[in-house]
Amino acid sequence: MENYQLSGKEATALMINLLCSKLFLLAPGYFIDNAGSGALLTVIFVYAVAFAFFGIYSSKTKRDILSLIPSNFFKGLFGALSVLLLVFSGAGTFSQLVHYIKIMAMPKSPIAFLVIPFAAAMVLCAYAGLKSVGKVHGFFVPILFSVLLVLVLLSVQSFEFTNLFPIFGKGFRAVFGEGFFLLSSLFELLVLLYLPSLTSASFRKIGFSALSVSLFFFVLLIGAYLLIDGKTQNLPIFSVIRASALSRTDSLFLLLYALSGMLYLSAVLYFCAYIFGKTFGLATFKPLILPFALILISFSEITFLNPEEQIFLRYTSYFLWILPFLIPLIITWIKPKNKKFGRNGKRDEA
Amino acid sequence: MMKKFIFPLLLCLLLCSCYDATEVDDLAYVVALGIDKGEEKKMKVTFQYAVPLNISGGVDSKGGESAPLFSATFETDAIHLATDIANDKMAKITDLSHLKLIVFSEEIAKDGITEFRRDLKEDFEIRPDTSLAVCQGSALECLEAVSSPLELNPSRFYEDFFANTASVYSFSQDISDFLNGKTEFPMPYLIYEDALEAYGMAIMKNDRLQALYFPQDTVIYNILRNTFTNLKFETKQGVFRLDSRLPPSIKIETLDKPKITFFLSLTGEAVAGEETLFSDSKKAEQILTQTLQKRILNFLYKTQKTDCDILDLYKHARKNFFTEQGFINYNWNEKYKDAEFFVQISFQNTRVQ
Amino acid sequence: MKTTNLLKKIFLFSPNDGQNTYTFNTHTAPEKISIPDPNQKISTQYEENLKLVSEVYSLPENSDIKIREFLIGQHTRAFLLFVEGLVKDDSVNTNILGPLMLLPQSSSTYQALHDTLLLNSQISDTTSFRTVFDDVNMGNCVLFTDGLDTAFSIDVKGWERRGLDAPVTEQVIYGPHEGFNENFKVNTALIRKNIRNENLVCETICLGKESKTPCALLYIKNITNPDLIQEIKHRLDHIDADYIYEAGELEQFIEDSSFALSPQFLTTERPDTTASALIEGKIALILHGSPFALIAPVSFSDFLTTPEDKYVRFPFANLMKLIRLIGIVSSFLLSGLYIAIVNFHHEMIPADLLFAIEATREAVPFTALMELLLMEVSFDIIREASLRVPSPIGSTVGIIGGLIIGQAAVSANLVSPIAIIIVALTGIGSFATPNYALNFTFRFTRYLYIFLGAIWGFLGIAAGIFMHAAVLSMLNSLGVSLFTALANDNRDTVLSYLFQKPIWKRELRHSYVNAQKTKLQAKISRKWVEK
Repeated sequence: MENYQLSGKEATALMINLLCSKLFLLAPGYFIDNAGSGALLTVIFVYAVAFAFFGIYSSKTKRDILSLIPSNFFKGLFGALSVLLLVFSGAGTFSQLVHYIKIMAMPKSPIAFLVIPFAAAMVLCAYAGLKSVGKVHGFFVPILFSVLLVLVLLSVQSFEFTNLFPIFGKGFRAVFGEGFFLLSSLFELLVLLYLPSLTSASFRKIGFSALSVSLFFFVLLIGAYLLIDGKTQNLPIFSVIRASALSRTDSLFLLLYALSGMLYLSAVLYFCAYIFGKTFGLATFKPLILPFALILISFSEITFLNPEEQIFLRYTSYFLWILPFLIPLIITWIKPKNKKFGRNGKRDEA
Repeated sequence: MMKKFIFPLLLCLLLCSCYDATEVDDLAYVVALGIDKGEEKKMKVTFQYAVPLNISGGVDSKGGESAPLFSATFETDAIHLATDIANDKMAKITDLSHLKLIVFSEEIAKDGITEFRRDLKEDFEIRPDTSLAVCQGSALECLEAVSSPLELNPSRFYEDFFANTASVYSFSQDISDFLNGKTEFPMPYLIYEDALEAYGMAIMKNDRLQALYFPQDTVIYNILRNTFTNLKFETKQGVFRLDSRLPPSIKIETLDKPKITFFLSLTGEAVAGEETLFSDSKKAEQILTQTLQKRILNFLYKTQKTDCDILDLYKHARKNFFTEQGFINYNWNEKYKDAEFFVQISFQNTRVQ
Repeated sequence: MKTTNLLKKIFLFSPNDGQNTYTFNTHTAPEKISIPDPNQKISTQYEENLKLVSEVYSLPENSDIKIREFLIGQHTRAFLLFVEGLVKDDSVNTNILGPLMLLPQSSSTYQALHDTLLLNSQISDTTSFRTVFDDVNMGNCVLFTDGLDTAFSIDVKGWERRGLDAPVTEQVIYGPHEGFNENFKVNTALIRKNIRNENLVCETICLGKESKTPCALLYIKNITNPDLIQEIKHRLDHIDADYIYEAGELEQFIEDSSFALSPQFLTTERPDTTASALIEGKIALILHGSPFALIAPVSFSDFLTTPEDKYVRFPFANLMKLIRLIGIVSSFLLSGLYIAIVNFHHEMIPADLLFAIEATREAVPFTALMELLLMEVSFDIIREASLRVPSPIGSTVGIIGGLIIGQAAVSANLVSPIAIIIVALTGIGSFATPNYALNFTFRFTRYLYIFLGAIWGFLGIAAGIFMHAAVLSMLNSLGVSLFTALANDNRDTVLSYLFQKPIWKRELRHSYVNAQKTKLQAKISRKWVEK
């Protein structure tokens, strides 16, 4: 394994990207579908839950999640599940990403042709290693963030504040009940649980700053989308940009869209290989990158069949949140109890 | 090793691909689109192309006499079919990415324009800031009446024609509302004799032409939408120049009979007319507010009578509800018919006594 | 008879006719010439020494090696060995031969020679022929005396060299105008002249088993991190090559990654840049025979900096830096973006401009990609050629070539004017790159971006930028990441690397150097502000 340690800022940028990219690429649609004009409340609610979960978890431990799991069997199970779901999540995002690019700018190109640059970029970056992944995130995340901020500000002219009402949108149940399951769109927080062994910076701080930045970003984007009559289902942010003062330059958005997609995919690919290697105690995981890339690409081909349906998130959102949120919490609860039982057991024997 | 692979790969890709690449000079850019009712088929689509050779540099090379625009009309069942026919008949590929204006003839607007939504929405080429308009008579003739002696470039003429805030009798309605599924909206109504002119509003309800409003109504519409600067407002006693001080606000009480109150805050001064307008600022203010109030109320009741919520009042009504279901239960569309309107105007006279 | 001979000559012509045909044999290994072993001790016998020296230098065939035999104090035989042209004749005559030959009481003992007779500031003695030959090759003059097994190596170097000139690749308007030349003693002296501090250490390491090129390793001993010095010494000591002559070669021997798209050492011709790098806590290498110093470790922003940035007042320096950045980015990205926009994203171009482009492209037979490549390649050819063309007409070739080819190509409808503008902007932008080595990188990557833009439009450009960044961020300069400024946990930010602070704010050294002293100046350096 590499000996490079991510700096705090790199790790934060990485987490911001993992949390935001998918949201920025796809999620405003889900949130607004679900809650209508109450989407902002859902976002805040979902993040409050995420903050609470993460706050409790990080106050109990500073270590890697795998090192907390006592039995090898469960360790393997958890690692394998993480990798599997990460691959699914990545592939789902990948397919929609490419599909949207096709709709948006390159309608005549076959999908496989559009996959090539993404595949090349993610494989190259993941091969270049953790340092490259970290630095690239440190470079692009602030740029993308500020460019999007500017684009949103430029679209202020078409904001209509009456679009935020009625405040609870499709009703309390939709906002807080079904809205809770949108926690699954923060699934990538899972990667954060593996970060402590890759960085020397405080993992709690990384988590909180990444969550806060992504919350800000998300409120901004969903807010802007809602304010500009958020009814179009496809390409939410694309319509924000098209509504902005620079409506002609929306192709530039393709640049941002592709860049953030590549960042996301390279991080997912790297961590798939890394978590797999770490779980099964492999000496090196670099050779796994290419197979995982192939898996990602071919899985994304499967979901191409019906990208409009958003199959992945629809069917998995009910349980996907369990892995990054609930299970770690249970693990941190069980561990001290285990110790107690252990002691009691020994006393009983004695 | 890497280089050996990369270069041939790049070359192969270059040779076999570029699916979406098109050369600039292989395209013919449509700047305006006219839709008329067809005789045999559903519609007659008129593409008005820009002729680049006559637009830039054409003046010196060809003596400045050749036309910058060129129109072609095709009778089809859908806009997409029209582009196909155009591609068949011409060497260049018809491209809608620089479309500035879509004109519907009055006849086709009366029949309904719902089907065009689907047609146009599929096409990401069409920009969201493309203007929509309805014209008297035939759209083809309307587009051919366009002459722009001041602009070399016809696309700039279309852009400026509607975006011109100095004109109080025109306004711009872009395509994005229509594409997003809005069915109640106004469009500029165009007439042409010697030249193109915006004359009043065509009010659409359920994608059908419901009513035509006068140019005077456009003035009020612009005031209520806050899309005006330096507006000259006529009263019996004289002419005022108006500017908005604050954006207008709307308050709606969602009772059994909704009470809708408009608050307008304007600045300005009298520029022509009776002497009292200049000497007595109180009097001037009174005259203006009374006239304006009356005309706004007239306009609002007129929209209510034609049953068109073109000012998007329902959005303001939604503020009073917590959930969408609550708003649906309130049944705004029915209640709106009985609504009462109130207008409050605060006017700041900028004329120094 | 004569005509038949002539016809014969014409019809039976063969180019080698009547000549001795010689073919160089490249198939069998050449015969090896035996050389006497130079690793011997100097003998007390005069004849033996003379014989060995003559054999080693293959005298008398070797015409520029001189042996001058004479008598010390009119009784002891001695000879001087030197290379003609490398030594100063005056010093040999007046300071060495003069006192030895003219003073009758001259004694030939070691003490007398060393203490009173050899009138030179730099004398060393040796008992090994190896050292003798090395010194003579370097331009010293060696004195052998009958009866002594010690030879004196006297420094009378005085070869012809270029005077100090303004640096060619890094000219400035503000700031010193002197650059290094090919003599490394002069170069180290220039640096010492700039730094004037006893802690500046200038270690000489000989590189190349055969060439023995001296290389000066410079650092300031109470500032530079000792780990860095150890690492660079380790690398220098472990180069197993026969000949190293140029800083560019040395750079390739000691850099981390040789396939990388970016240089990893800063090469500079300027003593002031080298001095300020040393003060920052970096190390510098100066190779004999090369007018360039190598500086490491560096961050990527150092390649984008000119020395003038420090000398000009800071608001202007930052404005220039910003403009330079735009120039650099456009030098590799602009053509790719143009192709992407023109081929894929027409709607981005304002209608007026689009119609103008279309009107000019109407008469051009090639695709936009073809015409752009045509112009890019011809521009690169002009640039390459104007380097070789003798200097008085060189600049004319550049300008005239560019203008005329461009103008003619447009009027012949080979290319459209917009393509010329794009290519010209890229070309000019590439000259905004302060570092010559980086210039190459961007010239090369520009073509990649053109291809990517032509294949996938903005998607390809995005992939290109992403991969470019990923590849560059892998690189290290002497163990320090080239993109060290990006998202690190210490006090430096990207902005502090890319832009200049006002001079009183530059209090600390860059953290990536990890120097022994972090402070560069006091917290309040302009003390006069406080009354």
